[in-house]
Amino acid sequence: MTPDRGFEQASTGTAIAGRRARMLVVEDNPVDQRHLVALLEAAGYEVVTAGNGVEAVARYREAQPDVVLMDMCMPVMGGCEATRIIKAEAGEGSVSVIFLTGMDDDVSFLAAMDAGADDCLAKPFNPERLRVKLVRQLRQLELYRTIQREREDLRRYQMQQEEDLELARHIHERLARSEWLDMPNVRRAVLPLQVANGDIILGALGPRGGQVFLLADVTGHGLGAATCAMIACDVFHSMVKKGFRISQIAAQLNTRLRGALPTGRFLAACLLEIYPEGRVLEIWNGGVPDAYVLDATGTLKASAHSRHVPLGVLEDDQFDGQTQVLDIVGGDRIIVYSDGIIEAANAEGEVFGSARLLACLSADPARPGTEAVAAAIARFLAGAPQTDDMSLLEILCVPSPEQCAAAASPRPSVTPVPMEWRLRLELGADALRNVDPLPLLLHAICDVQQLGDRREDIYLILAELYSNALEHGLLGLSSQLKSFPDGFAQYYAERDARLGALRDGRLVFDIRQAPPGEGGALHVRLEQSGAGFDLDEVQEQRTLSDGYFGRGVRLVRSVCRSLEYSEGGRIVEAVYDWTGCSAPTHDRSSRRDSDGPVPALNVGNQRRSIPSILS
Amino acid sequence: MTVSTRPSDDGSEMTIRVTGRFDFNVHRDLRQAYEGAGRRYSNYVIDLANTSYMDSSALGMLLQLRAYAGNSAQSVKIVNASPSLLQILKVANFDKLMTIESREAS
Repeated sequence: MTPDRGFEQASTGTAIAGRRARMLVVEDNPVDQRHLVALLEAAGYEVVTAGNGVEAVARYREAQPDVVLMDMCMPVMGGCEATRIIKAEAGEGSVSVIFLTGMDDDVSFLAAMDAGADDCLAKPFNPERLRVKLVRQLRQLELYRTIQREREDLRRYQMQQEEDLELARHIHERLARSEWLDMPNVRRAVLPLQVANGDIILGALGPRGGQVFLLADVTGHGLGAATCAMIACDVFHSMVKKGFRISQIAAQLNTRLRGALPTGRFLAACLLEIYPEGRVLEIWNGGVPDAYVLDATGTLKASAHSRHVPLGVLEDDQFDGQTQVLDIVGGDRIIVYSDGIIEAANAEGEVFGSARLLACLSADPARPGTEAVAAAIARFLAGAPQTDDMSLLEILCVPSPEQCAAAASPRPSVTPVPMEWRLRLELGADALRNVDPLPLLLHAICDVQQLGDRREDIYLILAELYSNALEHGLLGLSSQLKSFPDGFAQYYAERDARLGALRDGRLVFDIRQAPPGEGGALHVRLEQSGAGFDLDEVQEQRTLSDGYFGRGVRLVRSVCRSLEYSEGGRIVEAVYDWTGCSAPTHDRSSRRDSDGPVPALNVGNQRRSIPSILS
Repeated sequence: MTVSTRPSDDGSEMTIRVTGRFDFNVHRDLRQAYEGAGRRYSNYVIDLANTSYMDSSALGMLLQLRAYAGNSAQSVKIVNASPSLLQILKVANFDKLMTIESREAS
């Protein structure tokens, strides 16, 4: 029997997975078998054969054909049973079976299909028909294999994603650990979406005992979010420790994030600082909902809405670090939260909203706000899914902040050896307007002379002397403002204004390590070119009033060996002994009432970034 | 079509309309709309008349468009924003980055 022309010419459809397709011909009649084999080989297929059902199964296992051409009635084992076995062993979509039945009737057809056949052809058949059916089966097999492969790829990809997500969550968690134990007046509620909450809430103590916080809403949850978190945490903690102000921290965060993230990614954030005496709250809000200050009765007394573009968007010269300053008293509560809370929607499509939030915070002022809000939201959602991260930070303002015990740093076992060095920093009006010299000086002193564990005392001295010289000497401000109810905010607003208008003036820091033989003593001298001020008068004013301000000088005196003003207050020199004591002499925890104006330096529009000491 | 475009008659600006939810799913289509237009326009207008929802990824996309269009406040104008969308743009202070007109404005 010669192979039919039509069949031969069909050169398409003989390959699968880049190789020749393999056929298993199961036919007990040797003539029919040879005919089929010839047909298939001429067409370009690879062919193996079997004479009955048992052989068919064995040959299938050996040769792993793509298509089986199965005869129905055979000795030993018939086609139906062989098909059942083969189909059971083969995975879904790995082999096709085409029955070649002797009779074209419904019974045979149904029996074949029942056994698991993919198609049927009655003998005698037109080779063209067989060809078409083979092509179709091969195409289907190819399709199935492609789907399988893609499913595998997808699964692998998903696993990769999950690992990345897990890594991101791990990083995030490690970074977000703050010294919450040192801040018993702070409560946080974090309701995570999925496993990890993308929001960042950080808190740290500044060197003067102030509390600084960051609440930020990160877009997304993957590695992009973790990158944001890593940068934010790093910058926040290192800068707070060094005594930088939130305005400067915001500027630096903006620069770093803009540099690291692609266009379109940003960090909505709110930075807050509570000054050490506990009477002033400074806020920088870029993209986060209104921060609230509630008084002890639960009434809203002030709010700070977002005035800035979120971090990571603006160029350095467009960035605005202007902060808002609010007066606070013991018993007040500060609430900051991410938009997930007010935008939480229930099944009816209603959002929780700020009205409900305030109502639930005011309802029972004694109840922790974090609890009240979490409960209210759960009730409101009533089972509806949470679609965004929800975070809330609640800070209770305490009259005499216990948090002033700064995070303890390990005392060196060896006291540093006094070395000979001197540092002079002269600032003209431009510099005074734009630069905060304190972190620089603190860093230099502590670094050169290894005085890291005396950081708080040294900062206190520098800050107090500097603020007096600048505010009373060069700017001509009077502390009396601070004794009025909104006094602090007004005082700083006035200070900002006058500083912004400063055109003449000079301030010189002259800091040196005492000559050898004097032991470890630091001489800090400050000279300003403004009007002298009568220190005694200033001090008397301070003692008379109920004085949240004014004890600063006394504090510095208590810490220093000596403190002397001369030339009518234009020059001040403090001498600070740092050897011979194993603990900072400035022991905050023993203070009973609020301390003086441990100088609050609202540098407002701080534009200069101070790169080198930020690492 | 979630994202549709319409060049102005004088060819100086292109209006892009986002229908329905303006979220991360829109990203590719939106980028294609302005990058695949064959030329850069001097101004782009984002029409939010039929936008029901916007999230922070939408804000990110607006920043990308702004960068593409030349990074100035005049490059991108947002029109027909509903009060709730205006609020989102307001909290993010995007009025400092681009021109924003509310629905009431003509």
